[in-house]
Amino acid sequence: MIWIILRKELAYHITTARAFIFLIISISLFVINGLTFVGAYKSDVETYGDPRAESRVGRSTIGTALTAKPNPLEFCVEGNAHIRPRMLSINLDGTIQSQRRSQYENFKLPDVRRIDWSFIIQTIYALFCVVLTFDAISGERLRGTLRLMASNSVSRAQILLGKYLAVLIISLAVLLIGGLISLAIINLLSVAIPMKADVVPLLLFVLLSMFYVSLFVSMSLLASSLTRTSATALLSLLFIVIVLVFVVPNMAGIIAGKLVDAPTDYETRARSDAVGTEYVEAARELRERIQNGIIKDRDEIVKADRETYLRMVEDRKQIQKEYESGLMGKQKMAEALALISPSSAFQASGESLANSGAVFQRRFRSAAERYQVIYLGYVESKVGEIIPTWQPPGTFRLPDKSIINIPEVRPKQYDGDMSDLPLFAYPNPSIPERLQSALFNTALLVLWNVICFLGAHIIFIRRDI
Amino acid sequence: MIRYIVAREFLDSLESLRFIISTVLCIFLIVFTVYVSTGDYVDRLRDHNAAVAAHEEERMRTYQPKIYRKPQPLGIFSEGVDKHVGNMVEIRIWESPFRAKGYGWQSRETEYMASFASIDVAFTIKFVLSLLAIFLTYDAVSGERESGLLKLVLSNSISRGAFLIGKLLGRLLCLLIPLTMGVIISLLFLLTNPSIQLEGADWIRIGIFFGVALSYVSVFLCAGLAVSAVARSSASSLIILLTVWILTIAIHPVLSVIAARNLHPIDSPRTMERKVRSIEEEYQKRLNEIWAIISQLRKEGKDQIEYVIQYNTINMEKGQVVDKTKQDFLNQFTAQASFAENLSRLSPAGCFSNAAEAIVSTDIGAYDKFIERTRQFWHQHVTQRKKWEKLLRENMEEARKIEFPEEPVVEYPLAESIQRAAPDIALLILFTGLCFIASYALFARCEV
Repeated sequence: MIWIILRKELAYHITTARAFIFLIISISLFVINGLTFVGAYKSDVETYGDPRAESRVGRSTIGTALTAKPNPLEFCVEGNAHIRPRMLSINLDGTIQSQRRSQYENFKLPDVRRIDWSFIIQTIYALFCVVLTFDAISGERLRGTLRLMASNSVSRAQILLGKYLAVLIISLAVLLIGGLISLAIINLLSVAIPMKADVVPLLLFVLLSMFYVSLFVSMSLLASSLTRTSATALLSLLFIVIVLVFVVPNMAGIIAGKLVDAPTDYETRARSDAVGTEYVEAARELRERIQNGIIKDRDEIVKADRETYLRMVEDRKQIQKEYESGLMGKQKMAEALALISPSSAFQASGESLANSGAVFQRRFRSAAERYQVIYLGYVESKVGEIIPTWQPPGTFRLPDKSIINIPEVRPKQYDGDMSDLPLFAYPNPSIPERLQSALFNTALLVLWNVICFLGAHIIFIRRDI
Repeated sequence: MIRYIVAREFLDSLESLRFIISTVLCIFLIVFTVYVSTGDYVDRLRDHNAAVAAHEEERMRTYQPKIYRKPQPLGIFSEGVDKHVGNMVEIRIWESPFRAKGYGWQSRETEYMASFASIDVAFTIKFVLSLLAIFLTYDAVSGERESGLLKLVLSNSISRGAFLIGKLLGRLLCLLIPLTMGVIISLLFLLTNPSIQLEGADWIRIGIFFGVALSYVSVFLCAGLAVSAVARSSASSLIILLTVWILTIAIHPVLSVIAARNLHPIDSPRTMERKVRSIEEEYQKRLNEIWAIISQLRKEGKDQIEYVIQYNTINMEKGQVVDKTKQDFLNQFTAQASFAENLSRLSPAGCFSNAAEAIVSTDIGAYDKFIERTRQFWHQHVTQRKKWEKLLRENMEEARKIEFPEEPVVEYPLAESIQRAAPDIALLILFTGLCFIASYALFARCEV
């Protein structure tokens, strides 16, 4: 019996204008996705290298840089990669710095989210699933056809399931059509994507999308069962979609900013400048001590000068660390708060599967930290000692007017063969690792689904038709 | 007769659940965002004042000009680019100003909080109030047609035009409630905060912002009436309007930027970096040679002033030559951004955003003025500095008389803001007019 209901529902939806509009908008956006991805990807490959090539590390013992390769799955989940830094500098003083994006990028253009599959599914699919399903129960109740259907030997659960599956199948069909068109455009324009290794994550993303879409279908069935008129159902659902998809994810960042006491950019710079001022003061005191004959020995002077400089470097490093720690805390809080919205849970899961966005940012940083330990060990083996930072030359005048010139101190560059420089293990997690990382957020989506579908089921069974 | 229709529509809408829920949501969002934005503005103002004070102190010791951009108090209404572009330019003789430092590009916060956009009053108006306008009008005509009331109403001595105007005005009055409450709440936060001082021009800006917001929601009211007049059922009307809404609010702004990048391409960042580097390399060789001489003289404890002057002069020359290339880059950026802005004007949401940002001076136009002023200052400073360096060798007394320009404080007069916002305000009025004419034309011809 359920197949009859399913067929009926599919036939009904396929002939409606709303399904047609859904298909047209979806295809248009996927076409734009394909076209824009190709341009951006080719530019990234030109700048940052081919993702298929081995990760190259700069052969130097005075610091090196690690580059995030272009991600072939960015057409699927871009994760704001165009804002995030692509390069990390590994410094000898133990710090890792992200390299700013070029100052020659057009900052006058508004910073907008890229049209990736995740954006299309989060906004358009969520909205149209609501539009396709809001009158599934209430509409039929008003028209009187629900009673006729229920008077047959078909359970209410089967009616509900039939309606649910019909919209899900249509959404899947539209997604597959749009997705294949996007992939066709990408491949036609000479970018061989997806690569073999990306097929499984891509299929998993499609499955994840179905969880997300199914949630809004369940929610719509719940609202449709609860309300007396279709218009009321639609209005309530639209409010919920606006709040969950647009408002909550953005508010999470604002609330996190209020809850987490992270130092501001200016405060950090001011503290860093204050350390610089302290260093100047300490250097002046050192000169006074030399002038007063308290320190006379050349080696002692060089040592005192070096220690003062390194103390300044260490203090600044500590300030940066506190700043980053504050920002990381803020980010984690914002991500946790955003999980109230299934849209954010979907985005986070998608980023885990596609290895992009904030998830990739953390993996890249962790991999860089692990590599830094190996790199510093390697540098020490090659040049003997690690000089953490460059110090400019200095001049000190002794009481007898003679001058001590202190040469600059530079980290040592090894001139020999560095072909044995360890390779950087680029963070490319396996499928099980990606699934594990996406597990929590996917479980949240499944939980939402279960709650909404069960709710719809219970309400529909108990309501008078 | 119109009066009765207006009163009826107003009271009907006021009692509806959709209005109550939308208004509550709207007020909640505005209260929340204004509370956060005000706190954020106060923090940024405090940082700005501290930075300016520290710079004043520093000037006593070493003259290193810095020009600061004050945060805009009315940024709580429309944040614009205020927090995304820099707020300070350091004047260095060897490098003309190109981008301000501070927020956005130079801030680590952007890296960590990339996934989270911010909300301001303009966002709430753009998303929630426009949706409320749709909710109030999607069944304005179709609903009455379905229930049979429309025939009864029009059987009286009332023209279709008067009926439509009555509907529009009644619902507009309704929308004024959350809009006015939102603006009043924002003002209360501003006025009760001792760190924030509003001037006369600011009040005019707030008034214009209110007018722009009203014009924006009127577009959706008229569009709602137009679709409601022609749709077969209320549900169809709502679906059509929602589709238009999502395309206008969420999709079109993204598409206009994508279209600008692809249809109005500019030199890539790499190409620009290469151009600048090729010019700098020519000068760098000479600079390195002179620096080697200075280091040697310093070691020997000899006088290096002549070579330091030579070094600085060549550095300034390098800065001036590179500046011409940088000006070309800025022109390219502006051209591409203008193209995107013009495309965004096809949507009332784009017009509203542009107008709101321009009125409160948080748009890219205000930032451009700041950068332009700092660049002018840099040219004046370098010119004087060159004279000073030259006289340092020849005549110390004359060198002391050289006056350097004062660091400018960039203001944003109201007239300039209105000028920048004018095209978008005019377009919003045009959109409203066109939608109303369309609704009238469609309603005049439709069956009741």
